[in-house]
Amino acid sequence: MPFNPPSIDLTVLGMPALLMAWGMLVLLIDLFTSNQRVLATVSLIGLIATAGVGLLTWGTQRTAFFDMVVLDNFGTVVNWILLGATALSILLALDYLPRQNLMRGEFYALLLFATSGMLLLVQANDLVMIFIGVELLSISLYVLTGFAVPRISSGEAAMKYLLLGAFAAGFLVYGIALIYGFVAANDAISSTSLTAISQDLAAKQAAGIAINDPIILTGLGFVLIALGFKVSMVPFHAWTPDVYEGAPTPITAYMSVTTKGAALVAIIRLLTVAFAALRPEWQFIFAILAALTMTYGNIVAIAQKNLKRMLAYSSIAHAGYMLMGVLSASPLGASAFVIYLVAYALTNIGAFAVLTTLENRGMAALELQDLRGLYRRHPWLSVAMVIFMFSLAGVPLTAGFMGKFAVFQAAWDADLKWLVLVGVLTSVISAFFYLRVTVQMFMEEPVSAEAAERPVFATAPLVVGLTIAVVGIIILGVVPSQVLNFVNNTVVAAAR
Amino acid sequence: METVIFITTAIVAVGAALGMVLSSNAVHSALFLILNFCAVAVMYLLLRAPFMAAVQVTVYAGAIMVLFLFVIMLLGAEKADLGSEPIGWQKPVGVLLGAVLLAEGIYVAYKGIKLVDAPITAALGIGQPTTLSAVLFSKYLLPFEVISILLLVAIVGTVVLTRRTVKLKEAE
Repeated sequence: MPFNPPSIDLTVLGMPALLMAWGMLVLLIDLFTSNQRVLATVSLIGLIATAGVGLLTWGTQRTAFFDMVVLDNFGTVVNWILLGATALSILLALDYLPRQNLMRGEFYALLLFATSGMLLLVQANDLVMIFIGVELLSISLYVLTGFAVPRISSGEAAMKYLLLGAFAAGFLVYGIALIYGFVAANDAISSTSLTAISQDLAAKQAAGIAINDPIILTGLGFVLIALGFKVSMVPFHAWTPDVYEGAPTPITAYMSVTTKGAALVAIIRLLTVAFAALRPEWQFIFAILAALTMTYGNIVAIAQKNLKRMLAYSSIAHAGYMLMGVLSASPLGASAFVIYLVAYALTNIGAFAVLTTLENRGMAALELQDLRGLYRRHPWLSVAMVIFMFSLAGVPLTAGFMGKFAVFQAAWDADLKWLVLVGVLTSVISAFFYLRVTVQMFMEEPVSAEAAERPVFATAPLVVGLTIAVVGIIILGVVPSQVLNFVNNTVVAAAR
Repeated sequence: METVIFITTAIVAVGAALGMVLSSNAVHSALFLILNFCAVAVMYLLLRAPFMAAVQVTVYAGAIMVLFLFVIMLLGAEKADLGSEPIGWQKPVGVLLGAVLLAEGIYVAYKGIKLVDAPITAALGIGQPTTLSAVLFSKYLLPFEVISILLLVAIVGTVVLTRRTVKLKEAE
């Protein structure tokens, strides 16, 4: 084989590449200063700079590195959401880490590396790149989950996440190998690229070869199992409550949003670019799994006493709603997914921010009853929490309602009416446990005099984060048309 | 000549595999496994895949097995405690799955099923270092480079997780 050196296209790779370099910069700065405010500020500047790169390359649509990565407006918009979610998580962590005695500079570098893996996953147009993106974000998250490691729950969470994650990675590699074996080698572009797969499937179809071969269906199934694991889709969700409970709260907020977002984009690209021809095979199975995910997450969340576990089960349910947008496999579905992701990112990180303010050093777990009488201790905080709970439940005039409305519309148009029905019913169920939180805060007395005196750590960075989340939710809920038009135009344009 | 070498290495490989499973001392098991890996590496050479053979020896027999031995000796877990099996159903299920695999292998060998339609000669270049590196540094350059970030993250993560325990001991 003649050696042809690849052309390095830094325009397409710009966002993840800059963030990786920035992560290394943060690692180096960590050598010279232990002041974590400096590190956090540098990291925030890096996130903003990376978002700026997205602005510079806006409108470009091309692939690079033998079709392995793709740059389009859809990917850039999702990248911006992920960068924003990372920035909010840094604001959450800034005062939480010293309070919990977890002051380690590597925290921010690992956070940036995890995000760069996600950006890579969003822009991946190749099975190998999907695998490496997933691993980059997972390995960073395994460590970040175990960041509070003398605390047993944190170590347990990291261990469970690592073992089950390694198992899922095995599925991913095996699935990729099966697909690679089925698809004919392509000399011009990478044989594992999604474009090459769709070309090969089209060629096979034109030649009258059956493409619903057991080998490729098994391969696709295995890849979807691994990505479904990252999204915490039922029945691959079992790790979620334990990991979310044990991880440091800002990390829980971070991964509950970003991992799902990035992995779902990979699923969208995989299903609509590479395997569009197999749509009848995957759409029905996926719809059943989405229905199970919504139902299971919302029903089990009712029984939870621990707030982090409750939000973990609620995040499983929200993954189900986002899957509705994904499996609609239409431009409308993709834009509905983006809107849902924005709403979910603001709301969920906001809700975890409230938990962060209440979590003091040495606290074993944050129970539902710890919220009792929060209204008297800190009225603004409880009002913010009410807004987050309403938005998670999908009450009108909040961002959560717009998100749910968009995905239901997309699923309805994709002729999955029964799935919309399941979605509406489970939303009604979910309202019960979200509103219970509100009742606890406003109408119940604190469990003890000591509980009524507990400090609230609403420090400046956290208040900034909370304000951004609340304002975002209200803007998206009250005047959604600007955002909707923007997302619809960019995503629909990208899909053409 | 090739047949003689093949039969010799095959006997060594199977013998080492049996020795690995049957020996009750974990260190002996690990050593048998190294022998098995080396025998398989010779088979790769017979298949004209020198790179695979080198990787088999350096990565598996070298790095991974040394790690195995290290952990076994560090934990002092040389002697397997055969009396207590925590998961009772593991053994019969293992035997059953092994039997299924064996039956499958015999069936495939007996029927002579061709798993690949393409002529075998076309694939001969795959095991060559030059072919591999040409692909690695052209088509798969980007994944290759990103893996370096992945390894960096792994190293940083290891440092983060282990240095903490040192700190904890100092505090006690």
